[in-house]
Amino acid sequence: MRGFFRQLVWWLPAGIAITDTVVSVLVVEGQSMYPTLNGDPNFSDLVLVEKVSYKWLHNYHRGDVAVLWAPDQPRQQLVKRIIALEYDTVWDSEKKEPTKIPQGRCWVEGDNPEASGDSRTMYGPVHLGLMEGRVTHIIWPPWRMGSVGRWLPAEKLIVQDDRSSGGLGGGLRGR
Amino acid sequence: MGAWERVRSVMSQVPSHVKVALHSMAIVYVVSRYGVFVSKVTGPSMYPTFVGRGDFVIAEALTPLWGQLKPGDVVICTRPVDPAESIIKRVVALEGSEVTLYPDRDSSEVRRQKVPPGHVWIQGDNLPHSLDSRVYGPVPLALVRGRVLVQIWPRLRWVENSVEEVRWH
Repeated sequence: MRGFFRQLVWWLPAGIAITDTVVSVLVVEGQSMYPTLNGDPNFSDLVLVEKVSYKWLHNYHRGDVAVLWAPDQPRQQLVKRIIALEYDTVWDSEKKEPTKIPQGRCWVEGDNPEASGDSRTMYGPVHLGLMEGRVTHIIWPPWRMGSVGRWLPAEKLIVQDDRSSGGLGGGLRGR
Repeated sequence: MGAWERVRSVMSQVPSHVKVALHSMAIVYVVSRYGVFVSKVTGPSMYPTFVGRGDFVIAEALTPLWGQLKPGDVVICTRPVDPAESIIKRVVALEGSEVTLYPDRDSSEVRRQKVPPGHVWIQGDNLPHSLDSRVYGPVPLALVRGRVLVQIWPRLRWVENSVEEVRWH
């Protein structure tokens, strides 16, 4: 048993580093991503969150289901879909007007607009630095197991600007 | 053979220098993310506090993690316009307080703006040469990575919380 605890202490930093920057799991709360996540109202989905593409490569994609830190609550995580990236123009269905996304930000929405606090209703364009990881699979319950796809709802993205897909930044460096 | 013994037998096949390298990287990550880290300062935005030609500072991550930042603290923050980079600025106002915006390129009027919940207002000490909250607005606390404690290069000194630096904003 002492060997077990020694191993536990030895592996703790590795565990923290891996779950922070490579891959982790998350229990999804709420109905904001219904029916993609929590499609069975009696069970919360356990999902796999891949973090390398955002935290190391800064490779954000429209249509990804993303885990991000809530802009107004530093300890709260949200699960939303990325609709638009920096410089894109997106349709703001609350204000009923096109919105241009500023540099370094993105537009996120829940798949279930009635139950989602997101860029439309609460936050506006959110900082890409708040992005934590990409939801790739549902791993529990067994009957919901499967991959979570990249998908973009129609008629939301008005102008796609590809400055954001070939690396970020530029223009403001050195100030 | 129990599950634990099986895990141990798999682990024992990993070469020891690989294990040592991986554990070292993990420990460096945990210490710098949740403890203290060294950061380089470039650019003129914090002059005269930092010259910005390769100054090095030590910052600690616990104060922002616990939400204990105060106006006047020098912080290191993920760059709001580019998440791949970091910036160094001074906290001017916390959530709930108001900041004054003086006339600039975008507006000829003096405006008041309230810092929203969970955000901080950051500015450089060198106002004419700083790109900061005056341009990109309040910054979520989750982007603040550390509070600067000490400058270690080119000279060794404490970095003070200085309300004087921000009083005239």
